[in-house]
Amino acid sequence: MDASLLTIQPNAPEPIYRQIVEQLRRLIASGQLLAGELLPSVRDVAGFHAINPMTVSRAYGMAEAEGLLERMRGKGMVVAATRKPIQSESQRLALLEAQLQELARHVNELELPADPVLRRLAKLLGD
Amino acid sequence: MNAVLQEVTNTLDAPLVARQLVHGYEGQNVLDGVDLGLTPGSVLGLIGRNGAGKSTLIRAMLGLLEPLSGSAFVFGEPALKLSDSAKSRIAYVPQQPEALAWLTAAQMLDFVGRFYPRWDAPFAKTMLERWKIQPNKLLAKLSPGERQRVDLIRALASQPQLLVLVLDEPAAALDPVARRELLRELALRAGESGTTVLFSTHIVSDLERVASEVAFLHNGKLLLRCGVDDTKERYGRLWIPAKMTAAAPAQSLSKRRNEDGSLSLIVERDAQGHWPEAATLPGARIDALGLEDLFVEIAE
Amino acid sequence: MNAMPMLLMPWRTTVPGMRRIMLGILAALLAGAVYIAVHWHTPNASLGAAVTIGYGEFFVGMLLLSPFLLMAIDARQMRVPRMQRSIMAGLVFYGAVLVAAPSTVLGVVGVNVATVVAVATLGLMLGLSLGLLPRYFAVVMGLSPLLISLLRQYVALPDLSVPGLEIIWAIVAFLIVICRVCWWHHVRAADPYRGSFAKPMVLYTRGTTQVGWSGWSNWGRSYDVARQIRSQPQWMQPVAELRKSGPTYPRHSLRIALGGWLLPKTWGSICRQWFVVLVPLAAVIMLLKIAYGYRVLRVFIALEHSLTLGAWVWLGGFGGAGLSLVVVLLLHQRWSKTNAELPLLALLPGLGRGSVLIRHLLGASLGRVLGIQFVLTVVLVLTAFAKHVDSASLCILLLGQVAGSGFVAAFALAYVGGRSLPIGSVAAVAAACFTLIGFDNVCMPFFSAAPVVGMLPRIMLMAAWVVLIGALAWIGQRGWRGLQRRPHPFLPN
Repeated sequence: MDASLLTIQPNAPEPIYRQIVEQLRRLIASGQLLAGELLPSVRDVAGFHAINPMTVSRAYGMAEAEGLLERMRGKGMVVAATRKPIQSESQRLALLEAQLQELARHVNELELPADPVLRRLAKLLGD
Repeated sequence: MNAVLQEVTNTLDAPLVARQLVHGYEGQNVLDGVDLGLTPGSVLGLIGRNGAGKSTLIRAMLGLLEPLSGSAFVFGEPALKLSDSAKSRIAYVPQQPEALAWLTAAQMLDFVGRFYPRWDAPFAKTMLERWKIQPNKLLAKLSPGERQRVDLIRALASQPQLLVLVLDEPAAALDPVARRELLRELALRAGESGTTVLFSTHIVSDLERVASEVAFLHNGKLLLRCGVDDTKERYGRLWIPAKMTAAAPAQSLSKRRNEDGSLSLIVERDAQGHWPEAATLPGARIDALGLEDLFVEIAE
Repeated sequence: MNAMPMLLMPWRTTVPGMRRIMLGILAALLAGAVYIAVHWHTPNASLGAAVTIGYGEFFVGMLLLSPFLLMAIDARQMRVPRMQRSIMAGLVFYGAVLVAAPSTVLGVVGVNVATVVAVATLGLMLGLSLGLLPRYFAVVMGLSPLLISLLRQYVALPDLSVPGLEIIWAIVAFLIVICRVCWWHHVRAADPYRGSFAKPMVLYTRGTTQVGWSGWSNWGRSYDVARQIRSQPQWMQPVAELRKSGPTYPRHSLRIALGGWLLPKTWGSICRQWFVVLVPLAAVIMLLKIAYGYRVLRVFIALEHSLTLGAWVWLGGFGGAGLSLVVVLLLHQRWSKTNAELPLLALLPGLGRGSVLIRHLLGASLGRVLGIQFVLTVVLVLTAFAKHVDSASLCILLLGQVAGSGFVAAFALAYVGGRSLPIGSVAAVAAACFTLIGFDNVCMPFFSAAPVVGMLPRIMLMAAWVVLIGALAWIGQRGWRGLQRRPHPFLPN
C-alpha cells in the first residue's frame, strides 16, 4: 500500500486520526487492502501528507486495537490476517450507519416522504 | 463572551514555560497575565488575531524582551539569562527576518553555523538548492519570501531541541509548496527527534495538520489550550431554534443570537462524553466544528 | 504664477527637525560672525565673519536646498504640471533669502557687505553642489585643501587673506552652471535612483519605494538597511571577512553581526571601495613628486607649511565627529529593530555573558572609531607642537577631539544600556559639534599663522566644549548604569 491511498482533510471537523482509521476500515472491508499487506511506515504517511507522526501512530494504534491491523516484528504494521478479508453484510452495513442517519435527518428536515427518496436511491444503486 | 481558560503550568524541566507574563506599551497591556507551558516533543500552534500579542508573547518567553512582570523559563533556566548550552538548543525565526542583510546566504549560514555545536552544513546546502536560493546573492537583494526561507534553513540546520517560528503571513512569505515542505520537516522532526515546536500562525489548516496542541491568544489572554484532536471532538456548535431558547444551557464557550432569534452556542461534551441536554430538544442540532469556525466564534 | 506654492517649498521638502537644526546652526554661526565683526580689530574681520557665515550656508545649501531636487524628480515622475517652475523659483528665492538675511545683519554691524554676500553665496553653492553632484565630487572636495596648496606652486593664486571678489563670483557662476546641468540631468533621467557611483548624495536619502510627500528627507529616521545596500552598485559592496569568526573570536564576530561601517572587510573589497579615493590621491602624489622631487620628508614639510593649524583641526575635528556620527547612527538603527540582529545575537551561543560580553560588545563597536580618533588627535597635537601654537589653541583642539570621541562613546552606552534618547538628540549633539568646530576654525589660525582672536572668545569656546562634554558624560553614565542593570544588552529600545 502506498501513503497516497489515504486522503487527509485537515479542515474537516473530524480529527485526522479518525479519518485515517475510517479509511483503513473501508479499504480493508472492501478488499482493496488484502490480509498480510504491509502498510507504509508512520514516517512515510506523516511525510507524505505533512502531518504529525503522532497522529498517524495514534491511528495505527487504534486500528490495531480494533483488530484491523497487527504488528509484525521486523516488518511493521500489516493488515490483520485473522480478520476475514470480506466482512459479512451486516458488518458492512454497520459502516454505513452514520451516513444513513445523516440522510434520514436531511430527509426529515426537508419534510419529504420516504417513498420518493427510496425510489431515487434504488435507481442510483441500480446503475 | 464566555470563555474557558485551560492551562496547566508545567514542571521546570519543560522546554518553555511562561508564568503570569504581563507586558504593554503606553498604558495598554499587550499581554495580560499569560501562563503557558510546553511539553517536550509536542507541537504547539499559537493562534490569535493580529495584535493579540502572539509575537510579544513569544519574544517574552525567549528572553528577547523584558516583560513588565512575570517570568519565563527555557529548559529550566530564566529566559533573560540563558546559558550557552540552552541557547545552542534553541532556534527562533522571527516574522519578516531582516538580520545580516550585508552577508550572502552562504556567508550567513557559514557564520552562524560556527556557533552551534550540532550544525548540519550539508543539510543547509541541500535546502538552499531545493528552495532555489542563490547562495552568493546578498540577503538584502533577496525577496522577503526568500529571506524567510533562508532564516528557516538557519534555524533547522542548527538541530535545535526547541524550535520557535513566527509564520504569520505578511505580504509574501512562503508559497504553498514551500509551506507544505516546511510543515513536513517540522512534523518529522517533532515525531522523530523529539523536537518541541512552537509556531504562531494565521493559517489554521497548518495547525490542524501538524500541531498536536493549540493555544488561542485573544486580547492578551490565553483563552483556550488543548490538544487539536481533543478540541475537535470536544466542542460543537449547538443550534437552538427561537422558540426553544429558554431551554438553552447556561454554560457555553460562546453564545450568539442570530437574526431570526435562534441561538448558536459553542458547547462542550461533559466528562462522560455527552452533549448538554439541550441537544436532544426537538429542532435543536449539534454540528461538529472545524478549528477555524471554533476560533471565529470564540473570538467574537 | 501663484506665489504660494513657491513660498511653501521648504516646508514640503524637509523634515521639521532637520529644518530647525539647520536654521539653528545658521543662527548660531551668525551670532558668532556678528561677534567677530564687532570685536575683531584686524583687517581680517570682514573675512572672518564672512567665512563663519559661509560655513553655515554650506550646511544649509547641502541639507535644506538640495532636497528640492527630490521633489522635482517626483513632480516629473508623477507628471504634476507647472510644479517645476514653482520648485525652481522656490530654490532661487530661498537661496537668495538665506544669503541676504545674514548679510543684511552683518552689514548693519559694519562688515563689508560685498565680501559677505560673495562668500556666503559661495558657501551655499558649495553645499548645494555637494548634494547634487555625483559622489566623486565629494572626494575631490575633501582633497581640495591639499590641491589648492599644491596649485599655489604653479599658479599665482591670489593670497586668500585678501580675496579677490571676482574670483569668488567666477567660481559661484561656474557652480551654478554645473548645478543646473546636474539638476536637468537627474530630473530627466529614466531611473534616477539606479545605484551607481555617480549618484548624488541627496538621492541616497530616498528609497525607490517612497514616493510622495512623506519621503522627502529621511535623515535620522530608522532606515532600511536592505534598501541602502541595494542602492549601491555591486562592485562597491563590502565583502565580509569571515575567516576569523566564531565563538573563539567574539569581537570580530560581533563586528560582523553589527555590519555597516563596523563590518570587517576582505582586502579585496577594501581596495575596491578606496579606489575612488586612491585614484585622485595618486594623482595628487604624482603632482607632489613633480613639485618636490622624490624626498618624502620634504613633501610632508611642505604640506605642513601650507596648511595652517586651523585647517588641520578642521579636517581632524570634522573627520572625527563625522565618523562618530556614522557609528552612532549604526548603533541606533541596530538597537531599534526587533526582528533583525538583536534576536540573533541574544540567542547566539558562545558570545559570553555579563561583563565579558559587555567588554566584547563595546570593544567591537567602539574599538575602531576610538582608535582612529586617537591617531587623529596625536597627529593634531604633533602638528600643533611643530607650529609652536599657544596653549589656548592646543586646549581647544584637545577639547574638540575629546568631544568627538565622547560623542560616540556616550551614545553607544546609551543604546546598549537601554537608556536611549530620541534621534533628535543625536542630531542636536552632532549639530553642536559641527558648529563648535566651525567656531574653532575662527579662533584658531586658519588663514595665517598667528591667532587673531582675543582670549575671551577662546575661553567662551572652551567653556562651550566643556559643557558639551559634560552633557555627553551624563548621557554616557546613564547608559552605563542601565547596562549594568540589564540582564543582557541585546534588548530592543
